[in-house]
Amino acid sequence: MNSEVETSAMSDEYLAPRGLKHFVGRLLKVRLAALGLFFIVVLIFCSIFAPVLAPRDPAAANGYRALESPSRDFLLGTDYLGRDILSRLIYGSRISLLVAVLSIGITVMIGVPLGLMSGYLGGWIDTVFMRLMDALYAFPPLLLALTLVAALGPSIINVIVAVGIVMIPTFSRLARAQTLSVREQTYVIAARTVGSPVRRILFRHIWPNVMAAIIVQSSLGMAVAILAESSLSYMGVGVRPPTATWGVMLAEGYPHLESNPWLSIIPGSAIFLTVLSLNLVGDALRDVLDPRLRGVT
Amino acid sequence: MTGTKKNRLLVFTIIMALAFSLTTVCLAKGPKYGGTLVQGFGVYPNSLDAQVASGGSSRVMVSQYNETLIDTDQKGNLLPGLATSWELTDPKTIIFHLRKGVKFQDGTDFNAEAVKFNFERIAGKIEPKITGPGKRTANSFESVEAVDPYTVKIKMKGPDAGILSFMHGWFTAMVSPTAVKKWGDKYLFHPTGTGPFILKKHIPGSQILYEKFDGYWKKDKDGNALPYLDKMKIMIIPDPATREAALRSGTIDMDQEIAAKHAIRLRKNPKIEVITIEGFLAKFLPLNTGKPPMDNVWFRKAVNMAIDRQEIITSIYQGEGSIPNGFFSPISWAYDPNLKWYDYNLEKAKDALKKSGLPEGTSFKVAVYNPQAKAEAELVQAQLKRVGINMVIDNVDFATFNSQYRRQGLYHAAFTGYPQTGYDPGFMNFVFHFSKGPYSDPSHPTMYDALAIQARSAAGGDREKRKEIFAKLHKLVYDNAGETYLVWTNGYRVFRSYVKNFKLKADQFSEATEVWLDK
Amino acid sequence: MGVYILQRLFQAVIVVILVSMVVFGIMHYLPGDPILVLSGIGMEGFSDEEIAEMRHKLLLDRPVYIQYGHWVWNLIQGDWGKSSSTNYPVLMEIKIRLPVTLQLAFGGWIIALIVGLTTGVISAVRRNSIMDTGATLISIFGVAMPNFWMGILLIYLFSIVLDWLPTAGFVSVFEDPVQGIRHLILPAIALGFMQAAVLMRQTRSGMLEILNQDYIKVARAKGLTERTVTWVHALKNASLPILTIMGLQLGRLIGGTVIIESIFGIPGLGRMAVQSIFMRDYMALQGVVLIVASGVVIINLFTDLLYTFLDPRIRYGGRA
Repeated sequence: MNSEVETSAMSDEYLAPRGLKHFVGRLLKVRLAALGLFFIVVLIFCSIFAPVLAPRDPAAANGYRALESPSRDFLLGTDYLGRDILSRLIYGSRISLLVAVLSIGITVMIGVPLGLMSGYLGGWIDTVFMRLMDALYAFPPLLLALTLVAALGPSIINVIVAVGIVMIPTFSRLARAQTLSVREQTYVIAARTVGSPVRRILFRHIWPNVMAAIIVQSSLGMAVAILAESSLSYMGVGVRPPTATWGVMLAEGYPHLESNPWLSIIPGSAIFLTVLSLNLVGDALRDVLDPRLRGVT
Repeated sequence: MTGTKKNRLLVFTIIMALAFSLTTVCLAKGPKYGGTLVQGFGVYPNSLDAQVASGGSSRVMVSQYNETLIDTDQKGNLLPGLATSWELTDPKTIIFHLRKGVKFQDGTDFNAEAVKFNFERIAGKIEPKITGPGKRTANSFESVEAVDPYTVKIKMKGPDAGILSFMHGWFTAMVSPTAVKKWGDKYLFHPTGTGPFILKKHIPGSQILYEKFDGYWKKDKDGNALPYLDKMKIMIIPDPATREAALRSGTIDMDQEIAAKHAIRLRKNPKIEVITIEGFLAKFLPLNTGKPPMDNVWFRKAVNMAIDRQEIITSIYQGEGSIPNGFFSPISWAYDPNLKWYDYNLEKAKDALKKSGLPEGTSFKVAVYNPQAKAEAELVQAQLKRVGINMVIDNVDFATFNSQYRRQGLYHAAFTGYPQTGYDPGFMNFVFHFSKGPYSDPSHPTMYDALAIQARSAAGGDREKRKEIFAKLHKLVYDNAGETYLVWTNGYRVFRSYVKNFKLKADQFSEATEVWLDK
Repeated sequence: MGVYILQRLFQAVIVVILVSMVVFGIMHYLPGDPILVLSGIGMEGFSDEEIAEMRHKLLLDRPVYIQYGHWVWNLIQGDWGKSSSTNYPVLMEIKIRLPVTLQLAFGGWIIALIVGLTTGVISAVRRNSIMDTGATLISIFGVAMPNFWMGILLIYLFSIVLDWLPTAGFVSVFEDPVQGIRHLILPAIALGFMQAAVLMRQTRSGMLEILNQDYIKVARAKGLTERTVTWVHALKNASLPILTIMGLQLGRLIGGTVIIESIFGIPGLGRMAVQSIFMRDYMALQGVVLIVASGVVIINLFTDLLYTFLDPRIRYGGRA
């Protein structure tokens, strides 16, 4: 798993328009984001309607037709057990998306509010919380996930929970850092002076400013989650066979990397496109949502 | 000169030329001295103390500096090792005549006192106490006597046909008593034996370095000193793809753990030799007959008949392998071509399922702990689905598997396997068919145990008689369908072509004693 | 400030203790124990009594907290215990493996630094150009590719096809600098590629934010070359969040070398940790976790302090 981004404020649309070239550039960006969104919608569609879209049962093996190239029967070829790669890819979108969204969901729902509160309230609450996060952070992430899955048992839910927990320290740190910088802003101090309840301050003023960074981090985090599942499969723990996730397909294709590279390239490309789309959409969302950017072309 | 004389001269010249070139060629092909052999392994040893090492790759690592009383060849024939001859004076007593003039690597003599010390150590009687694979058998000796400096008499508590097999296991290696006494519990950092290489340095998890032992007793067939190599290195490379890449790039010279897929492709590589050991690994599926629905014999038969073994061979093992007919493959002398196992037959399987009284969709749970097992399990799962049996697979790590399957019986079956080796088959049967064994079938304890023990110690070790007993055991297992034989797969050993004289032992691994490099 | 540092150090110790307790607890909760694992590998013939005796010797039949207490007590006296899977003293193994992992992590860090910073800066300066989009795409690529894949691809390319670099193994740069670096390049790239991608995006963002500030415009107006503006003024001020990330990355890298070590056959702590988990080697895992956790905590502390020191906006002062 990779390291996470930590920042106090991020944005990259500050420069005033500098003429035609940049306008075209921005338009391209918007278009790319639209493409990304389109891909994600397609993905969601695939995962919901997988049983209808997939030509075959993803677990139906036929050992006599293993490792075949794409053909009329099998549009993307077969894997090492003779299963249809296309069907596995489509069904795989379900689980990969599920893992990505749910694990980030867990992380954000637990980590962000705690980080917000910790940053805002300060004092010993902050200290204790930060030390707890330090402790969690000190575990090598893959090992932590590995141990958690080993402890909880092999199943998708446990993988989601394990991956979600592993990412908490980063998100809560991020939320906290953002909170700290926003807290000292004039309008927040004003609200405090006036006597606004903590909850309102958190939701009204702090959360929107934090959201931008969290969104960007989430898109990276989803990539991490998908890859984490793949790494766990490579190490031999994770979801129950014959569940097809893109991560499992990558891990299964790994021994055949030289002889049948498409076994790895296909799920790898799916992961890449998904991560790319998520990032593009995430960037665009942040541009829209960050109040500082409103009004800047 | 006359024509005939000219012809004779010509013939003579040709013969001389041929003889000369032949001699040159033979001389040129002779073993070269020097060089470093690099071997790659995937798992590091659990101990470099041969009597504690638990087998597999560690057995190769410790055998470079340790030797046993009895040596073997690939077919399992017993050859003189540190003992030049032996005899069973009665079913419970064995006498070894030791080789003279052998020295340990620390200069001390190898003699009967040393042998006695070693067996006591293996039995766990010498401080600091050790526990190794040989402990139980060594403990079953009533006495070990040094009759004279080069004769050892061992009295066993009961007849054991596997005793000779025991004597060539790596865990009965002869180590230097002086070294043990000198190093105490640090002995495992300074293992000292009689073998061709001395352990020079061990970087845990990374490398083991050996240097040649100048005082090694064995000579090659021309009387030249062994080993030919100057040094040897074992590199631990856990990832199989990297190990294969390392072989191709020349970083390592040999891999004895290579997977089928890689080995088959390497055959096309002109720089690499591939040895194929047919029927080396027997994959099998012991069934937990105490746990419903596996307690239903017709259900087990259904499972047995629903598995298309050829499909497994074609896909997972690249078409290389054979369908088992019993417990022993042709590598072992106990192989019996007359035995039969269940054939793949979907209709009969469905019938069996009906006869079992269990409904379609009945499910059972298995555990897998490595990628090979997972692949087999997934295919079998798909195959069983065709008959309406539902197999659930749990992907766990080895420790969990070990504890939950074997100790707690949480699963109905496990995808596992065992190597077919030249070791005594009685030992293998003991492990798998004895009612208290880890993969046992508790449903017919008395009959199994009686047969298993008989098989182990049959009268004087008459192979035909023992084969008969194995056949009886096989029939029991067949009728009870307490396990499923999946496939006999091949073992592969690969090395670069400049590695010469690679000899396998009974357990199908090789030491570097007579290896030389044509570089 | 000094008081604050002491407080943080004290807290750091607490954190490490907490981590070691949690790890100990989870490991004992996992099914299986070292003897059971060993008894499954080639030691079939052990009787139940022998197994019970071996477990007793390792204190495995005592309650968890007693075992933990024993571990701490021995630790204080300098005895880190013996690894059940290799039979080596844990401290000896750690002494051998720690420098290896450190060199690897550091190598990856440096690659991430060089590649990430430069592409980030260039990307920011030439915003929305082809270079920028290209760099963004490559950085996404770096984030989206699992590192075991990247590792073996690098091996195939540089070791087999090109035959420029060794395939696997490790040589310490302190023993043989040339060979050491040759063995380190590929794994460092595989390790650092992802970090480079993250750092690149972060640098780009930070730089963009700075480049828009007034004082940059002033510097330009003053007539300073673009290069000076970029590298000296902008980067210096953007460095704060960048440094923070770099610090965190280093910490994470130390723990994140597991797969790379496995692929390249590098005998480091990551590999030791994974094996310990699979073999239920409690002593070895405790040792590794202790070292890694301490390292990460200290690096984080240092980064935090650096941040506090450098950022005039958020001074902690007396507040913890």
